[in-house]
Amino acid sequence: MSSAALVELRDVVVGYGELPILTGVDLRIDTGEIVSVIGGSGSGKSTLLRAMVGLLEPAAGAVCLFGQDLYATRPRSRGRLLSRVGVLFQSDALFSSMSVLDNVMFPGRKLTDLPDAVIQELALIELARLGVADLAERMPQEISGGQAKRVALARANVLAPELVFCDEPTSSLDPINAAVLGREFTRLRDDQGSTVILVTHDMEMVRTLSDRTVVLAAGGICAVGTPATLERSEDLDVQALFHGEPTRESQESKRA
Amino acid sequence: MDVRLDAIRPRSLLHELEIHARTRPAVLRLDLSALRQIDSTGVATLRAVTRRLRRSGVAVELHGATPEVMRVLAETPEPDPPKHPPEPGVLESLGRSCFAWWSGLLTLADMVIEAMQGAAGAVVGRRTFAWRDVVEQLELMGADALPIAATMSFLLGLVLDFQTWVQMHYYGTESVVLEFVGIGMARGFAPFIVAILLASRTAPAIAAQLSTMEMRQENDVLRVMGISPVRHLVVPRLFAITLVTPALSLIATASGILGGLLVTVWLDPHWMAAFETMLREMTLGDLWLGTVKSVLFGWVIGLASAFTGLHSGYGALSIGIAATRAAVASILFVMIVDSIVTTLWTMAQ
Repeated sequence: MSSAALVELRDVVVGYGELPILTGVDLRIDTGEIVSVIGGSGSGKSTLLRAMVGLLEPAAGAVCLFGQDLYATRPRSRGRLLSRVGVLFQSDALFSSMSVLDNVMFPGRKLTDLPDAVIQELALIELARLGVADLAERMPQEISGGQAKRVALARANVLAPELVFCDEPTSSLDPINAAVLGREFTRLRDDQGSTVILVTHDMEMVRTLSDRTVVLAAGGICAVGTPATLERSEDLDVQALFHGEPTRESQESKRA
Repeated sequence: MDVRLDAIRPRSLLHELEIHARTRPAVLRLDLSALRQIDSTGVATLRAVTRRLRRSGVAVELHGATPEVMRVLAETPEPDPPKHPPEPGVLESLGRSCFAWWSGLLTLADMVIEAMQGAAGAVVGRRTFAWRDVVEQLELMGADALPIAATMSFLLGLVLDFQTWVQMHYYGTESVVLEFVGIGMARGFAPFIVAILLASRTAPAIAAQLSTMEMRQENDVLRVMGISPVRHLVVPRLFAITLVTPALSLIATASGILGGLLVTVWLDPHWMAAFETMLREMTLGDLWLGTVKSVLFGWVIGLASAFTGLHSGYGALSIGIAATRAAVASILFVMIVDSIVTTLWTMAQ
């Protein structure tokens, strides 16, 4: 019997209202890997992420985190499960009424009994790791989009969660900021032992960082594998994502 | 019938074709030989015209197009027009509205229960409760509203005393006017005017703030940390409003009586006797009724504005709609609660 997966989706159907976006989703994610979820626009990447972090209850199936069904547990237990998770939203979602430092200290203040001085130290360390410690006293509206993303990642990671979800972490970021985030994801996996789940369309990040990639298409998962394996896939949807729109010629030459 | 079109100008083309269509030809041939260039607007115009004419039974044929024009026509995508879902019938609309109301009511009940649990948890000393937020809200709701609440009730007391005095003077009973103003302010006018002030000032502010947080995904951040936005955001505001409304109401009562006293001093040489009558006739029960009402008003305003803010949706208009709904719902529910409490109190006397 294998040990419980960090994230396990069993026959999940998820969508908005009566309209399912994804059906029959089965997925298992284990400790210490970086998993990218890719797919075209509207393929359900963000919907899947919302289901995995407890924001969108599936119409059917089970979403398990740390071996427990997220939506079948009582609210307090669900809170305890989610406190082991960090989430970086596509919009940085920093609390606009708090300074950068207070934003990063927030999880520590809410979810732990640590003294404020220790929480502040932790927050400053995390901000420094991401190169934004000098912004600690600023308000979120006084920093740039790239800096806000880094601050949001610092907040998501300040309590060293076992599982970090990131929704389009590099969207609208310049290459320098994207590289900073990439290095941090690698550090989370290698040094901290966290599992990082990236919902992204940044193929460069997928190729260089991912241990495994999940491809969403046609209302479900169409392929799972390492980026190197998927690069050679003959599936048209996978090809479209890795190589751009596949042509008939390229298909025929591959078959030949 | 042959129609030659020399210029692709959408309005003139549409107009000219409509004139020809009125003659009800079986076939309308469009000669495009003079057309050297066509862009998306031209293609869209041709297709819109063709579609409209075909619907009225006129076949349309295109002739003489250059290869370049033909290429653009062929390569421009031609999606089907959107199919609007059929309008629901009266019964279906009614059913949907009832269902929406019912599920809204259940959501509101959930929020109220969670807020009560959160408040109880905060009182028995849960470490994570942000009392700092309560203090901040007290300042926003109470301290900032105090001058205007005092001014409004002072003016109300003044006007009330003036108008009543003029009428009572005819019957020689002007000595009870100040008593009427005092009891009226304590029992109903002061809590009501404070509630209207909070409903128009504080309720939209709460709704807009929560709605903005919802739209910016700040509340989602709380949810994924396992923190309930109701407990974290709504409960501190409910605590604050529970303290603010009775306090403002008592100050407004005093201020209203002061306004009435000013008029009485001006108009009545025996104002001291009127003042003594008022003090003698006013009871703690009058102030108690006003306080109970103001606490209920505060809860109604707090819950209505929090509910509209947290369930406002994500569109560009949602913040404005949430703020408006919060104000309207607060005023409406305040009047309903006022009517019920006043009726029950009067019947119990």
